[in-house]
Amino acid sequence: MIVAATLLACGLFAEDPAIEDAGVATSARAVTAETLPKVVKIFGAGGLRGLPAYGTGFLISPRGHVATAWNHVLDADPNILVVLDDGRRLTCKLLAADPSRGLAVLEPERDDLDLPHFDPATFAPAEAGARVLAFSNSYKVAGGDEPVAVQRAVISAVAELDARRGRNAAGIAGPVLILDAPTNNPGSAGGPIVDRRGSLVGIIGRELKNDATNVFVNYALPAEKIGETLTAMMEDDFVATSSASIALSGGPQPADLGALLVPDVVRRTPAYVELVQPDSPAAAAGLRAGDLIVLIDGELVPSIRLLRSRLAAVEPGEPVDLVVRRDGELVPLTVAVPEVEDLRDPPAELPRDRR
Amino acid sequence: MTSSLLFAAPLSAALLCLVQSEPADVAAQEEAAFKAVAAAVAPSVVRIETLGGVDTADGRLLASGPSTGTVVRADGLILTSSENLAGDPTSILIRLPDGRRVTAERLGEDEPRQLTLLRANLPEDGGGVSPASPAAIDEVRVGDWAIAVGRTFSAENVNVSVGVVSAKGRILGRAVQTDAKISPANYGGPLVDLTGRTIGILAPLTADGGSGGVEWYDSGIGFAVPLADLEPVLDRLAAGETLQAGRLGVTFKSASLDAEPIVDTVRPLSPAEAAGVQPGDRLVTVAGRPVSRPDEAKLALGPHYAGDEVTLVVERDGKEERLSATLVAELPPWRPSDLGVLPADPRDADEAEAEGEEADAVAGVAIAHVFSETAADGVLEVGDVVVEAAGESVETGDDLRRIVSRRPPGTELLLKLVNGDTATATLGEPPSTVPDTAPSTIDPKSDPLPADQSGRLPLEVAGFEGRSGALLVPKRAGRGGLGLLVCLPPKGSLTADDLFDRFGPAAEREGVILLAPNPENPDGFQPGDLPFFAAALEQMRERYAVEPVRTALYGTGGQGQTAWRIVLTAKSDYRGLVTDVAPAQLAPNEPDQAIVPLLIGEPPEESREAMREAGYPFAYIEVKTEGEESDADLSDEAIDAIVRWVTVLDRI
Repeated sequence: MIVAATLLACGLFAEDPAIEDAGVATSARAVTAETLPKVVKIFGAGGLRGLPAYGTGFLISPRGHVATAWNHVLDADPNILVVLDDGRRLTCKLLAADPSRGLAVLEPERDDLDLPHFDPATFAPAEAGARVLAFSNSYKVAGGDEPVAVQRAVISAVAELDARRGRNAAGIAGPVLILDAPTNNPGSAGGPIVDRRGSLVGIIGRELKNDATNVFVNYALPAEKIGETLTAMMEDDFVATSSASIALSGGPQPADLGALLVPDVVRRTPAYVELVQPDSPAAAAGLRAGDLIVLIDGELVPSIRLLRSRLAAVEPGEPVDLVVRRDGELVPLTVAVPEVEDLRDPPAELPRDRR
Repeated sequence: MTSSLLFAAPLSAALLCLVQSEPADVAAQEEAAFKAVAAAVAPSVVRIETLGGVDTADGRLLASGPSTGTVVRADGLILTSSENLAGDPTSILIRLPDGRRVTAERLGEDEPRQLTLLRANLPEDGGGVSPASPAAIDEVRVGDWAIAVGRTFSAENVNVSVGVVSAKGRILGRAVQTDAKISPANYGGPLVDLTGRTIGILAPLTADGGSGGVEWYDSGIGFAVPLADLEPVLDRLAAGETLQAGRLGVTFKSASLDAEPIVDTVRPLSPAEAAGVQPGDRLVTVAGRPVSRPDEAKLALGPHYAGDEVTLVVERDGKEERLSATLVAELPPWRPSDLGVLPADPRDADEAEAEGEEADAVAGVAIAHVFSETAADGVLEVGDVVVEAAGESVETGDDLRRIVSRRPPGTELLLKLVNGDTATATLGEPPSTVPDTAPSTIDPKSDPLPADQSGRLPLEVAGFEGRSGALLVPKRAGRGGLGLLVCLPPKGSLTADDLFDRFGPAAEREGVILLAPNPENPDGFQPGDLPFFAAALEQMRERYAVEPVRTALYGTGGQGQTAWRIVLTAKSDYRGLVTDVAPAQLAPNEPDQAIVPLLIGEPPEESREAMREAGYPFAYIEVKTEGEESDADLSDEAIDAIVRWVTVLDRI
């Protein structure tokens, strides 16, 4: 139905010769016709535990280098099967992978091809509200020699997938393109997102559930920032950076500031202050019993659990900005965090009966 | 007026695009319009952040992330989907479009539309917010572009999802439907038209008013409550009022699509009754809307709240009458009442007619028994024939029972007798105990049933050949015909043989059939057994003329809850329920298909209260409470009382 809608929409103005003659395809039909030969289907490992053994990619060189999402399908290396839009088959190996961005580049065995492709130097930016087309082999619907499916979408937002500080549940750093159509399905990952001029603006990411909204999220990695990376990967001078692990423990705890919170009884116990130790950093900052801590360094702390993990990531010896809710007002406070040698070791609570 | 100026800008920008179309790149213009609309409405869209609260509600995992609200008044009134606050957070913060955070309080809630009004404590400069400007809902057309806007992915920028208006007047006339992707990413945000005006507030609605609409997220089926519809109630919501759906209190003869909207029952003490609606009335218009089917009447009432006054035009006896009803949130529970009589066997009347007596002589209901210390005691006598009650003519026992049941205890009921006398009875409360004596009902001189149709028989039900069971049929019927007690023996404790041994003598004496189906599942009876039960009862009605008003189900112990489920699902098949279980929560009892429970043992006070509130006129029999109770422990007196109670289930 989506395809039908697309065809219908382009029927409105594809007759206009001015558009075709201008050399820039701007109708959905023209963009689709131009894009499909650059999109490939990928077949590899999977099939177990519900993981699909197929995916989508796109060509980034005349020789047939394929950019795709880095995932389990590529475990079939060096026998990854790539199917071009006309049904031709290429056996590819995994040339390079960038786990931090979730990207991979495949290289075909043969080197005698001259294929239409997206030039990484021409990847374009995208903004919210832009109309785009998404190409992918979602659900392996294009089972035979035929090309992949096209969907229309609008970019809903350009935003961080999950802005939780200290641990990025999605494993994807930086902003992504949020799409308003169900683009992220089994087999979709690695498919290109193009704008209405046919420029590559995004790469469909693997399936994820959004922690913030508790729904599956349809998103793409912005293409603008990965052109250079892909070129480097193609030219074999790419060095993957290992993602630094972030220590979640060892930092300050509320007791180190001189604050005792109410007992943490449920998953979302709000961070109410039960008592403040006299002559403590918290007392000096003006924190009071009964305050509800709502922000740490500008980040929302919906529960004691999150307060602890956010506080633990604060640098000892540096001030930390808190905002508390007191009598319906939001009150900003700055608390001096003790030096690392003054932190309680092991981390401990203040005794509850001390008043 | 500031808002209309604000919205004029994108509108003219979009229009400018349209006239400048050279070449006609519609896609580019639409894209420009989407972006302009998002920018124009952004000052009305705020991010809601919550602290504390619970993780789950109704078994659903709740989203803990930020959600969206729509500013509807410049002083900080914000509408949002109640779903966003389902976790009942301790504290609510509003992130203003410029990034500042302020606290907010919950004000009122619109329950049928599942929206909550918040008041943000805006800074003195107003916080840079601008109230959403409502679209005139009459001008919204199906197929128009509709842009759903949220502020969940980032605080600085709104997120958009583009679709069209799929339908209007959805969810009982309360919502617009759209195919824009509606999810927790934009619940509470506005659905905006291409001129930047707000069509409605996005919310996960369901037709039954439940909160399950979240399952439809991103499915292409989304709903928005028209902002124009909410404007008139904003002040009430701001005052903290909880608005509830309005109910009228009528049922229709048939709910099928081609049925006429003819009133079947009018709930006692309901707005419909107060307005003067009568059974048999055909609804012509409801709240100003012409109705030709029952579901159209529901649709016409859907947008109205409890407390709203609606006009009804009904057709009665070929004439139209204009009535006015004030809707209520909850219909008052039915309060069953008791006259204290047993009707005579209607077959006598048939026989009388067959014997050529005059029609007048058989009209009305003959009184077979008057219970002492009841409404009828001293007012009616055995042999009296009631032909009219409260001005309605009475032809059968069912007629009189319906008239009595619709009136609460304390009502003075004027009765007219066939001999022209009148009498007034003050209706009482239904009895809470089984009467010690019932009229001796078996006529020992009457013809017994043929030998092959009475005594112990196998239960064979057409269509359920694999199922088995046993029947014990007495030789003679009592007043009003045979009674029927369907027994669900608890697992392992009692076989049909045991049961017939214990209950058989009393059943033979009182004219009650015992029916003991065998469970198919070794763990006892299941809801899946319902069709089998229904077929067995139909067979009893055909073969032995057993009336539903004389039919009871017996299920105790592990089968108690199952027994409740069976009778409440098949209300038209049963009147009585014998059990030792009293659920804490009960669907309201309905006067016209009332279930009368008999509890073995005195129920705890909370169960009594639950049954009273739901309108179940229960009685109980005392049993010894020492040790573990089981059916085998029932005393002979208790068994006699249970069987006797079945014979007086048709008490009026």
